[in-house]
Amino acid sequence: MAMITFSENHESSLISFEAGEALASLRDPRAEGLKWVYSLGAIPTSHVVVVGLGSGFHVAALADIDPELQITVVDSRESLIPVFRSQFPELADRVNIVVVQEDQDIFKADFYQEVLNQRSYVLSFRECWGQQSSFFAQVFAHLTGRTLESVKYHFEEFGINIKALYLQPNKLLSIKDLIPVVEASVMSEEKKQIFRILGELVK
Amino acid sequence: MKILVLSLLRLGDIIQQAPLLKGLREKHPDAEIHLLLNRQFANVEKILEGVVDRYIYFDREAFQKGLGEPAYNILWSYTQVENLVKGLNQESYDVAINLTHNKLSAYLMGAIQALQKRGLYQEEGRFKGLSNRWLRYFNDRFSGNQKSLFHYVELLGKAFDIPVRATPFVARKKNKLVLLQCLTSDAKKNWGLERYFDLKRTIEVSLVDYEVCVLGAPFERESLLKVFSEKDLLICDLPEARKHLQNADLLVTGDTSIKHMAAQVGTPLVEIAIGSSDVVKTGAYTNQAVILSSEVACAPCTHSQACSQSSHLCAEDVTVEKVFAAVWDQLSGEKIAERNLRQTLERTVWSLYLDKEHSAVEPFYREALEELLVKTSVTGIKETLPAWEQQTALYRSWLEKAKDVLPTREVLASKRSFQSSDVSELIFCAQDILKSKKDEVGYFQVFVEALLSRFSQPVQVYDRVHVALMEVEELLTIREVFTQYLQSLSKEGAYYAKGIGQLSIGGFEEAGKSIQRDLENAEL
Repeated sequence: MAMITFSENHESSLISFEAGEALASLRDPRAEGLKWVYSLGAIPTSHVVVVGLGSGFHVAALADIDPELQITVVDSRESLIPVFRSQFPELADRVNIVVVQEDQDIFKADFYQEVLNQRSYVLSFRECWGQQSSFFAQVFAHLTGRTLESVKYHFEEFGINIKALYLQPNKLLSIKDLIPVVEASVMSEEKKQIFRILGELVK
Repeated sequence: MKILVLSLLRLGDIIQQAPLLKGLREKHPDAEIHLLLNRQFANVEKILEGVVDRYIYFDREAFQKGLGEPAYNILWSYTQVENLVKGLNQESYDVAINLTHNKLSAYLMGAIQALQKRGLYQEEGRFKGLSNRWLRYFNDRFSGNQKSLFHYVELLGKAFDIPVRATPFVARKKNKLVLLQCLTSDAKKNWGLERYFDLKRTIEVSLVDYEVCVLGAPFERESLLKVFSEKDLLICDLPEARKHLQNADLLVTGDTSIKHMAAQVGTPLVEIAIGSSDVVKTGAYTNQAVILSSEVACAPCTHSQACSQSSHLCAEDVTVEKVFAAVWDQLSGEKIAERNLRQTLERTVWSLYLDKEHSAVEPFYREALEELLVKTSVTGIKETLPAWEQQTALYRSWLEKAKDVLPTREVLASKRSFQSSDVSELIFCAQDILKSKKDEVGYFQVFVEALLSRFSQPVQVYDRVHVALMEVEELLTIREVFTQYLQSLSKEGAYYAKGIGQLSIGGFEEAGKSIQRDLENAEL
């Protein structure tokens, strides 16, 4: 893993760097975070997962805009956490930070069950992904249930025939890919009917 | 009684369905009526006051966003739809009525628990609910671009036994105001702002005491200002538009939701039905509409596809002069042309057929004739009869030929696989019908479609075609018997004209009390 370093900008804010690449705007990290939050629109769930901690200004902006929102942040770079905690001490109780080194570790994390139960909304602030882009992209897809590996967790209650999905090429799954599998699985007609409705909505 | 109505189409469709909802309220004054509609059209609440007790929203945009955007959990929309269905099922509806008639609504109807379901629904892997002939006709004619003798609202009313009436003419104080609704939701359906501008000028020059204003939604202002000036515009929301329409003498419009609103408030209108506009399916349901459509070969075109022509041919075909002539007729108070009598006769025959639950039921000929005589004159019927009879004979000859050339079930059952050559004579027969273009209202439509279907077993051809021909047989028999009633009526008139007096007419005896004059009071 590349070296993480920190540097103060002209406003005395601590900006994190990965292999010399800034993980937030040097000039105005707070405005950058706010701009990102405003671009999100309404957040459809009470619990969100943010993929990437970086310098943390985007997380602070998110917490600031909706005081009721539960936030979990996932990152692989543990050294970012103490700086975030010292820079935003008021968020100690609001933001839960989870460190995962391998993308598969996400399935074992405690908060993953909450993601499954609440169908949590997952946000990505790509400016802070640095050298970890492909890793974070995979984590993002696992969290939203759009990878082959994650489907068995997300669809556990439906008892679908996962094997049928192995015919799918390696791509981000959508509900369209799942509908033929649902039809071929043993599951209550009521549940299948909901999937059929969704199938019509993506036509 | 608790009734749920599903209406998951667009704004214009919901406004168009308002007479059905009002009819439902009229039929069940004490019922609790809930309407499930797309959230984006929540503004119809204001125009359905007193009809619907509760509005429930299907948040289509949010569900689609949840399905399409990667940030959403793959099952987020599932949970939302499941919660919606649970909420609906907690209401324990007595009746659920599907006015939408598409797969989405059929699946939703399938998931809803109601004691009685009317209209299309999916259950146990099959689409069900086409429980009467009116619904089957609706399904046959509205699944593509087939022609229908009956308006969409009228058909649904018949199918669900809901009393609906086309908006009657109501005389009222004139305000000398003509409104133009120039823009529609689809560029292909727009007649063109320049043409509307020319029409406005023509009306103002020719009918000097009339004021012409342009209706528009706030988001249309910018487009309208390219041609019209600010003082010409009436920019407003739906409830305000309704008020303007109530004050207007006439609306000139394309295929928009505004025209359905005009029909509801009783404002006469001239509709320019071009592009994908289908007069039968989406035309305003009112007696006070003059609908101008294009005769070009590509019209009506497919919805949601760009115009395939190098220029907007259908718009060019409807000239400003034609539209002004219609405006003149409407404003001068001339009676809107009586419906084509042939079409009225066809509607009567088809109504007799569709009203029957099954083939063994005797149609109500006498009542149909009485109803026909309210709308039209005996002289008109007499003039139309020869061509009508000629048409009947042609249909009969087609039917007999098709029956002759249909191989028997046994012959087809003996074949291992289906080859088109097995029914080549039948295909030629269908081709003759299509080429003649004389089956204007689709007596043989189901028969022709049966031959276009794919079959794995030869006997399936027989079964489909046989059923289709049986239906044609029943329809033609009704047509022939009804023609006898018309002939008797015509002869009765002739005898009276010659001063012979009233003669008994065999055709009426079976119907019990006939429409003949009272024998005790047979004054000439």
